[in-house]
Amino acid sequence: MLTDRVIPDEIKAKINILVVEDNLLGRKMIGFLLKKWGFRFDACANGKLALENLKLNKYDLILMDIQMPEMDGHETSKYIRDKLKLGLPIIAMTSNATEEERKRCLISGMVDYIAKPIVEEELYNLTVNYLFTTVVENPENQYQ
Amino acid sequence: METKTEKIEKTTDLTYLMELSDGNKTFVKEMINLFLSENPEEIRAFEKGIAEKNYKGIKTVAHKLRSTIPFIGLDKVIEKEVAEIEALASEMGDIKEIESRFLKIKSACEKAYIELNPVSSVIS
Repeated sequence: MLTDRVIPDEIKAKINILVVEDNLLGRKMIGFLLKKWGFRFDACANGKLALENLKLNKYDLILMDIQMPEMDGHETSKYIRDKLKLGLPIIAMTSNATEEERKRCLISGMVDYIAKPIVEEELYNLTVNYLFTTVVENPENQYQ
Repeated sequence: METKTEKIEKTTDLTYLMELSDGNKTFVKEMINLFLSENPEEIRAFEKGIAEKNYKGIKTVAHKLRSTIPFIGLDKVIEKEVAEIEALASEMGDIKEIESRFLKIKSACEKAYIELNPVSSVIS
């Protein structure tokens, strides 16, 4: 995998990611990749379950499917921002990779989106960018 | 003597899964098994949706299928039909149009079951 963002294993092991995806194969695949990259994660199948997870655990980032039963990605993201008042990055994963969909994702409170089928390199770079932006913007802080 | 071999067109393609997993056969087998257990249910839900003219149901299954098919390379064969059904269902289009596309999807999926079953014949 091509990337210029190499994060030490001990730092990655402290990161906890929530995967919200109703498609079983999709959920399995994202979990496989996160495990391979060395991140911790929980996975669930819809927005309602995601909110339950968020009330119990602390996460650093959410990978959010859009079209899901019970509670979709837009509704869930709005709830996370408006009701739970959480500011963690939420990245949308969608088959409808259109400009209109991207705008809808941003309005719902998501920070970015990735098109399906997922390309490993893209997902890794996007995830790492949102997790470690502060470190990259202030490189001197890394060694303090 | 030159022997002629018949080229059999395959419906499935595991390149995406193999690349994604760095050739992890256990993971690829697990994904194939999941497809083989999940997909017939999706096809049945599709048939039910068409029989009942349940456009919302059809759209939901089409969207789900759209996420699933790339894992075994079926998107190269039926992505167009799946996307068209999703669009037709959104605008409550002609059910016959939906059905004709569905028949191609069903046929491709059935061919995929044969190609991928048993999994051990694909991934050794």
